[in-house]
Amino acid sequence: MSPITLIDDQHVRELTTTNEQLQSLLQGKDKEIVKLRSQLAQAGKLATLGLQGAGIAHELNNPLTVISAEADEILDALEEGRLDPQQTLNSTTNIKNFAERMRVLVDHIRQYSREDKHANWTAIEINDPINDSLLVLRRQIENNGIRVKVSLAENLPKIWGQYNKLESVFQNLITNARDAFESITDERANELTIVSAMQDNKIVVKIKDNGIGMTPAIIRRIYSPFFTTKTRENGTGIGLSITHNIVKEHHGKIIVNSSPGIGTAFTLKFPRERRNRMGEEIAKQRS
Amino acid sequence: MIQDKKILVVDDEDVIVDILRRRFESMGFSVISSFDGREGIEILKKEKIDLVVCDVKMPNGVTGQDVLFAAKKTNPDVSFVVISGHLFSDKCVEDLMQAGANLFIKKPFPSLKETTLQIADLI
Repeated sequence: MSPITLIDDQHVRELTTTNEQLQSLLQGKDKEIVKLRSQLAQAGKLATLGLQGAGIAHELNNPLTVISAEADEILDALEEGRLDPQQTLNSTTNIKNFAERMRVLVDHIRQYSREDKHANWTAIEINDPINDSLLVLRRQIENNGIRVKVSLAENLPKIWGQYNKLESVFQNLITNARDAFESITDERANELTIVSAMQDNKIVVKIKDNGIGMTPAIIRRIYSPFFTTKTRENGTGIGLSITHNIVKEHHGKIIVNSSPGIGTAFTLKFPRERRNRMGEEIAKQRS
Repeated sequence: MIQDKKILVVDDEDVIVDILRRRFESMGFSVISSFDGREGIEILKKEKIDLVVCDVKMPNGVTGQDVLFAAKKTNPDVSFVVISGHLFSDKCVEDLMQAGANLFIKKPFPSLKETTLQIADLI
């Protein structure tokens, strides 16, 4: 028989104090984990943005070319005394329109790169972060010879989430799909398909490519941090790990189907908007 | 005669094509506009072009390099100017020049007048 130890009041008080200290320590660690996870997500977003630097430069240089050349056109016409009112109106309209295109893009980059310290959980129509991701990526994907097919269902129920984080999920998955064509040399028609729909009471987004595809061994590791099949210049290996965490935070599911040489499809399933406890807790801890 | 000289401008940004077309036409050249590489190659097969001004990254899977190869195959004497807003490495630019490009011009153009005069000098 094991000995019975009687615990006196003093011992109980000591144990209670120790327990309270441990709980406080644990809460502190929890906060630290939330903070670290947020910092990692931010690092991932900035890394994705960095990798898109060349594409963003192109998106800015084209409107800049129009603005600068149309301004030259007006100045030269003034200098040479051949100012035509109609042509001047057309040139200034072009300057205004392309400056607006740059403003939208710069505004979008600024919002996207902002840290989510005070990001609110709000009701979000899932098509909005998808469209915003395409604002930066669509043209560069098409310029890589990839056809982009987008079919977004109208009037989908909203989901409860953090806009910037959801946008980084789509940026990441669309960028990965784009890179899946890099080593394709056969004559296939490169296609990237993005679909949103309502299925079994869930809001579903599918991002599918007919690129290089993945082996089962690779699929098993894709959500591990710092695992990448890309070169150091093209990938950090944290994108899918962060994507996985963000989808989980949103009470969603992420399913991957892939075959080497055939392509890859990521399917995301989100519940309809409901102010889920986890979201509110995270928001509370951050405020 | 400068009017007999034909310039093909290929860029998926239609306003840039329009700006270059206006400027070259005001200089007296005859200009054909195209908004994608595939169409540009078709024009090169049908028309006698003296100079091509072409973007590099364009949709529909046909790039400026493809247009360059097609242009040189159809007429090895055609002058070819590459314009691009992409951040190309020196090696990429070197490859384009070795493939037959006469000039590489970065977007945005430093000056529309100087750029178009520099291009026109090739004819």
